[in-house]
Amino acid sequence: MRGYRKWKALISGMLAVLMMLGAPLAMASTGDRILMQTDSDSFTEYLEQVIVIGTKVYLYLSGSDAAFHVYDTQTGETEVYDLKELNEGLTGRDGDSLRTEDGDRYTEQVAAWFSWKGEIYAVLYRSISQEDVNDIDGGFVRKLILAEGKASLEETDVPQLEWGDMTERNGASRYNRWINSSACVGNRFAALVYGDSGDMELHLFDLETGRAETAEIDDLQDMTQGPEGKLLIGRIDRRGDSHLSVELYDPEEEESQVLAAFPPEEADRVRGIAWREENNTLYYIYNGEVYATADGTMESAESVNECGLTPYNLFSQITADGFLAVYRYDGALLRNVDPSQRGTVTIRIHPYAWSNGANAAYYAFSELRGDIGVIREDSGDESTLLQSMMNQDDRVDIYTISGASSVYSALYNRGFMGSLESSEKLKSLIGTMYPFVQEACKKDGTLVAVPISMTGDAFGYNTEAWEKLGFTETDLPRTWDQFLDLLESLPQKTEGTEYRIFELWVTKQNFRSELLGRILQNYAQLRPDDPFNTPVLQRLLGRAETLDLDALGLIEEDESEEIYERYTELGGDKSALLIPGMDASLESYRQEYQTLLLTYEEGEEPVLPVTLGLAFLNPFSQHPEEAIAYLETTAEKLDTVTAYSFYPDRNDPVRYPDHEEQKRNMARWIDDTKARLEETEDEDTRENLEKTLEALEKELAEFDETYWLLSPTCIAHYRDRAPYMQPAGYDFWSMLYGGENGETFSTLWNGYLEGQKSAQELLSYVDQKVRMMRMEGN
Amino acid sequence: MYRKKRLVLPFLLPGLIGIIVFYVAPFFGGVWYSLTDGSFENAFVGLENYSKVWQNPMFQLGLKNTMELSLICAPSLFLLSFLLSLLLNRIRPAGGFFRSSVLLPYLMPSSAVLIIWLLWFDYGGPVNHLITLLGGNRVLWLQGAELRMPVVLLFLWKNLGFCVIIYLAALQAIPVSLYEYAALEGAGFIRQAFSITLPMIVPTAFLVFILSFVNAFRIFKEVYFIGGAYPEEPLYTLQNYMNNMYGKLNYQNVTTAAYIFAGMVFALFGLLFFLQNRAQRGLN
Repeated sequence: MRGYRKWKALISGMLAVLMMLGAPLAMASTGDRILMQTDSDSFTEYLEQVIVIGTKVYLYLSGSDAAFHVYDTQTGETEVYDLKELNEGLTGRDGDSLRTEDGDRYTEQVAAWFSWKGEIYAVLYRSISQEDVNDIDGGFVRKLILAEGKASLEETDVPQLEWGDMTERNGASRYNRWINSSACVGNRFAALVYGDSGDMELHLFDLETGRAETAEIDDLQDMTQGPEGKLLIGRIDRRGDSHLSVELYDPEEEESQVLAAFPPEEADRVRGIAWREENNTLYYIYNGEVYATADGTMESAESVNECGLTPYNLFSQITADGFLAVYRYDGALLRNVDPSQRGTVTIRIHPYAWSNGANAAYYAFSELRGDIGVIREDSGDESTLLQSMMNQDDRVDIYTISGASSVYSALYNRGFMGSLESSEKLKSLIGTMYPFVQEACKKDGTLVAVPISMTGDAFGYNTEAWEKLGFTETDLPRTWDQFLDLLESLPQKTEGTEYRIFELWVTKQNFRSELLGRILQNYAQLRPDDPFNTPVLQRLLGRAETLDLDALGLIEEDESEEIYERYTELGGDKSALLIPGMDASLESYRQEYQTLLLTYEEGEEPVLPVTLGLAFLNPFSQHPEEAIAYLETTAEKLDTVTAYSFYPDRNDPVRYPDHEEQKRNMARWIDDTKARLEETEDEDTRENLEKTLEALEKELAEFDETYWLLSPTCIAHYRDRAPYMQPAGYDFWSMLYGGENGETFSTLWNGYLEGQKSAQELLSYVDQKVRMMRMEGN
Repeated sequence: MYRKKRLVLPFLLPGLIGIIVFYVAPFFGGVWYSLTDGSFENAFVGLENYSKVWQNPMFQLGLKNTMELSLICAPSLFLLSFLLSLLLNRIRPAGGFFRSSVLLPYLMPSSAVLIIWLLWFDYGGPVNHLITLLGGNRVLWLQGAELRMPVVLLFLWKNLGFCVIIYLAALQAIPVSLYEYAALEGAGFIRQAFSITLPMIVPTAFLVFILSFVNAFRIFKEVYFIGGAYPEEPLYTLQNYMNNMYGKLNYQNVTTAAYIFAGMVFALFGLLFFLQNRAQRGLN
């Protein structure tokens, strides 16, 4: 008996150890991996290019943490090579400028990276400053050396490439064309750029002679590295039936072999195409999944893995051992293309609303629950969502949607949202958010949604200018009538001061549209049951019509072109006291501006309408636990600005991650400008440089105070307004512009803005439509 | 006898299946929809939807407008088509041409005709021009309750031909000898119309009357083209209500409104059948 127990204990122990080992092995065996994720808060870094050589994936990250990240699919390790010194070398170190033989200053930039004979090379171009003119000299090929954590460039024997067609002229200056994608085919460097006609052009450069030629290919859409001696190209004939043709192009023979043809209705949704010669298979990304097709048709294509990244601006390349490197400017993933190794559970997310934290949530969830696959679909037409719910469609597990959408309203009212009450984490996270956010996430006290984003706008005023113009807090308008009084008095009050009333580019039509639109929209939010054709609105609209728009410094539509030429003359450099459409969410709160809270009569409690983006669980989901786990990560991984908008207790100011680097750059520009000033004898140039120097020095002096992701003032301003925020129950404008009556309303609204229709006509129409819609109900 | 019945069933079955699948099942499916709340639970709510829809002000407005428009359009169509058919029946030279011509509006797409119609009734259009020539004041035909006039006229213009054709068929089926005997007996046109024509076409007249009402109840296309989903209040019909509810995927309200309306129409037609039977008996 004792022996049996001993054996039992031993076997149990071994099993436990095997299970512990097995779990990470099972996850790792799929090979899926996050290669890179960029900062989703500030967008100060970009993944510009990915090159695959054998089993190594080279990721070129530019911006605040510029570096080459090299991932080896065999070892699973990543090495990082810093690019700071390399970049400084291209622009000149310690204030010493690079100079041409003629003595002109220049900076160098990498136009593109490419792989050739198993090494990585850079093609550089020089931006040469000749007094007020810029010139380009390009086509210098350098070899990339990665050693000791640093990247550097080495001279090569490759002659300078004929770079003429890669530049474009603007006046007396020339600029380098942006290279959309690049590759190497045989001994040729290939670059895809927009030509003068606006069409894509494929330029090929012989790396042995430097000679350039342009490939004769029509309707080019995309180009990427193909198998040896070939390029993989995508063509869409927009003048024909618009189908997407994927071809292998042989520049030597100037011939193409068609690999696949995608129907026109799907052409724009097929992305990230890659070809693997070993198994004659074409891989592409479609609606959030990686597909493989051997015969080039969508019908025979098999979904082999989820893509993971949001499906826009996607590219992919295949490694020698058959992994697909999928990337876009803000992240890169490695994907196994063997469908037998997919996770057992896959959840599907359909986004109708965008959020900045969506990527961060996905990355965090992938690391936390590698056993669960996540498909992030293309955004579609939300009008079909209610129908899907009524059909008990369980295909999608999580939806994201605007809280102001009529579809959301219908889903909410009919209870087509899964309960999230089982998640203590969600209850605890959302329970500490602002009450207006909590309310929007609950139905009859049950948690049904997770907030993911927020928008909203209102008239804003410059707090500093307000004080300097002699106004006090008590002078702030509190009703729309008082606001119109203020507008009437401002031309006199701002005359001869350092402030304008509105920014220079605000046109009369913009202003009228904002003013009248906001009067109506706020009214709908503040008095949801009241009619529109009331004396209050008639009076306000009547007064708005009599405002002297010229005195407010507003320009005509057709003047917007010329204002830049007369910028200083028109006082464009002055700060504006008012902003017509200031974003009321924290995202773009400008620290010197605050929103105005306006009502329709004295004593009325003001409201600041905002729109929330919400994520919710499909009540018919077959994977509710996994979907709730994903929603928990979504709530935890909100981007910083959105999190600050929802949580009242987050008040520490946040710097941009590239704060120090930007400051250093600015100091270098100042040094550079000073050096140029010393050398320049031309009076006009000196004058310009002195002005530039003055502006740069002023900017540097104020840099610490102004360069914030979330400044203390901005947070304080937002906190002050948050108690008045109220999610819009419906989108007022969608109601009027949507459906069959949209065109009629649009004609009426434009007619009103152009003075052809009266306020009475507009109000009668709005009153009638909105009243009928309200009475009809949902 | 029993064996014969069994033989009949297989022949009836395809038709019966079609009727069950396409008529009976959707009918009861609709009834079921109208008794549920349309939520995630789709709970049975009894007659609550009927009560809510009946009390909805827009349903009431739509019902009122539909009834009013029908009461204007149906009798007008009935009378005008009868008179026109009498006239056309007597026209001899080129009678076929005129009889065919009246059917043309019925074949034309409403959207194309509507543009011309709206131009005619524009503030500066030919209709107002005619009114001013006759000494009257211009009317804003395309706004408010006046908008009903072009809609009614368009309806009449479009449906008149179809009713005339039905009448003509009935008129031409009356034996000419009856009129010849009556003429020999000294009966004039009026006497012939009331003693021969009318009794002979009562069933047809009743059919035309019913069809006029059915078509009038369905006035929507014209209204929709002019005013969209939310036209001016005097033009908002029950079809607008149902169409808008359908757009919002509120099938409960759509079916409930449809069954309420259907119930009212059945009641009305029942009454009409009763009156027709009595009238027929009187005329016989």
